[in-house]
Amino acid sequence: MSENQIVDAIRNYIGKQDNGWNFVRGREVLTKNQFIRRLNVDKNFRKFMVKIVVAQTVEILGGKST
Amino acid sequence: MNPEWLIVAPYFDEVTKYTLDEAKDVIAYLEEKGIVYFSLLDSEAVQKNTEKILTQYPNCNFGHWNHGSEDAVWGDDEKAVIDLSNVELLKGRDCYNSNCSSAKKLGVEAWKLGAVFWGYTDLVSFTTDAAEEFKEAFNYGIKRRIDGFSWKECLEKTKARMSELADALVDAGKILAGACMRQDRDILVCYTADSPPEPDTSWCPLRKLAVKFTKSAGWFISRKFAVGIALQWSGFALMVHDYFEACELIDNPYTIQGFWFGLLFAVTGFLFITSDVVNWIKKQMKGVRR
Repeated sequence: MSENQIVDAIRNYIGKQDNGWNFVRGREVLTKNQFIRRLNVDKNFRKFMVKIVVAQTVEILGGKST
Repeated sequence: MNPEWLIVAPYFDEVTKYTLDEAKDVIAYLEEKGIVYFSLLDSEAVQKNTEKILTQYPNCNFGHWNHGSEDAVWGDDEKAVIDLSNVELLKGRDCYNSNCSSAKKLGVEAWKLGAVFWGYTDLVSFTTDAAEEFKEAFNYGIKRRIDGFSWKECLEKTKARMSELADALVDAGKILAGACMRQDRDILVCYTADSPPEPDTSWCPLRKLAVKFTKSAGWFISRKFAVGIALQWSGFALMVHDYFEACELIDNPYTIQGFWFGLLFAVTGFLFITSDVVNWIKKQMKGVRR
């Protein structure tokens, strides 16, 4: 699976969230539309989101959480 | 009555709406357990008020719920309540920080002064569809401390609980919330006397090496001391090189050449090191850990 496919999956997931859903990181608060726009234009933001999603998947597959 | 905790929680933007709510949750827990505390909430949460209370009550612990940066924690007037210029106020206290990044530099300096520093080494993230779960996670450590657990146990229990919460969020379909919870868990640290900051906390490759080889002591080596050592040994190397390469071949050894530069480096390095050691001894005599 390529990074672009992961980003597409994140984009689709966010698109299904309620309009009141917000993502908060540091001082920034992003609505779902702002999140998707940011994902499209900001390379570092995209890399961060892919990193944490992949890390979670690996952890779940490895059964390490609990 | 002397307070056990000072709770500082400004409120001036959308994010601090959540952090203020988290601080009030901790205040309710303190009241439930009958623990004496002071609180500086909303517009009261500024540097002047914080310094006044911390100066008046040297045994009072410090808790902060708001924005942070690598070298400061912020107040309601968007100025730092604690930064590197007044970090001495945290000397010897337990410091609980529910803010971004302050464990990176401010936390290290506070730890060097004998403080326990709970905090995060990077930006904290969360999603609003799991606000209650994140509130529980961010406050879990201080509540376990109030319950009587050691800081080591608090950290272990908090990370385990954050993993459980992350799993539950994923099961509930809140995938991104789960990923953020895991990321926050991984950047959470607690510096104590037995658990110093990791080498990677520093940006400086020499500091990282020093901490790797000397453990906690590496954090206390000053740049002056390191430069002194480097100068001294560079000087010795120059002197030895020139003695074998040049001094035996010339009529007048007192002309300008590498041997004398080497001697100058070695003496300068020695003076740097000695000055640093003397300052350290003076501070030890005053009872301050450098």
